[in-house]
Amino acid sequence: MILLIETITRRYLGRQSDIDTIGWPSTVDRDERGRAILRYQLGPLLDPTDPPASGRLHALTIGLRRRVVELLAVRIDLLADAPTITPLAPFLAARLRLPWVTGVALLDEQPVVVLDLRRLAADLALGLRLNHTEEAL
Amino acid sequence: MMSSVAQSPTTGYLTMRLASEYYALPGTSVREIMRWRTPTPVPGAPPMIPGLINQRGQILTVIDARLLLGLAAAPLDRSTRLVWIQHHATDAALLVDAVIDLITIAPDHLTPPPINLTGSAQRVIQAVYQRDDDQPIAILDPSALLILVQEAL
Repeated sequence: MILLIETITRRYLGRQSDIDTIGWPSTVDRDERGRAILRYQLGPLLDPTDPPASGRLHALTIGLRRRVVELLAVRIDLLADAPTITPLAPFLAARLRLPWVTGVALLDEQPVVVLDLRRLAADLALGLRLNHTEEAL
Repeated sequence: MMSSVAQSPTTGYLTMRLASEYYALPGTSVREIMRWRTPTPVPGAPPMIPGLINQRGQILTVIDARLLLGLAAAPLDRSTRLVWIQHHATDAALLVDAVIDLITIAPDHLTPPPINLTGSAQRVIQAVYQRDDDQPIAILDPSALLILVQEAL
């Protein structure tokens, strides 16, 4: 199943199978297994022009071995009809700074990129960021 | 009595402008010319790739030709165009400052590129067409252009 994830100015797609839970962000720093919880707003994490959202956000929670990553978004919906996903052009996929985008689909005739949310969470847990976020975080 | 005149076959080229320089692509590698529209950015993509667009169901990667050829970035304006190029199995939208014209050039009117070219220009300019009363036009090799994209990002 495919998730439509909305930030303030962008839309992304992700695979539900990458996610452990979808809900509200937690209010604690560690989960019941003692794993540190890392929280990121997905919008500014992926795009420097996408401002942080205020108000109540939704969280995509991905549990890793030693960390839990919560990716916060304005809105998350499960798409009833999965769109056709096209791989990125090889010359682009091979040169992404971090391989967080696996493909693209058309929604309302607009390209929407498909995120590898588990890879993204794993990289965040390792301290990896896109260039534009390194100074901000 | 009719005399036969040997004519060299001509090739169509799409001419375009980047900064104050003129370039051309073989018409056979150009599918369409489009007005600028804001692409969907791809997180982690280099500045040379501003994003993706949909053109009648085909998702195209936009490549900023200025940055690819080592020219300075420039603001978009009304003459900015996207040129849908297709070479073998690769499609892309080349962002250029302006599209000028479609012209035909006989092969014997092309000259080899200057030997003092350096950098990316040396790799992608396959010939030069000197117009009588105007600036020269650098003929781009679409294959070399797409290879350069893969290597330069």
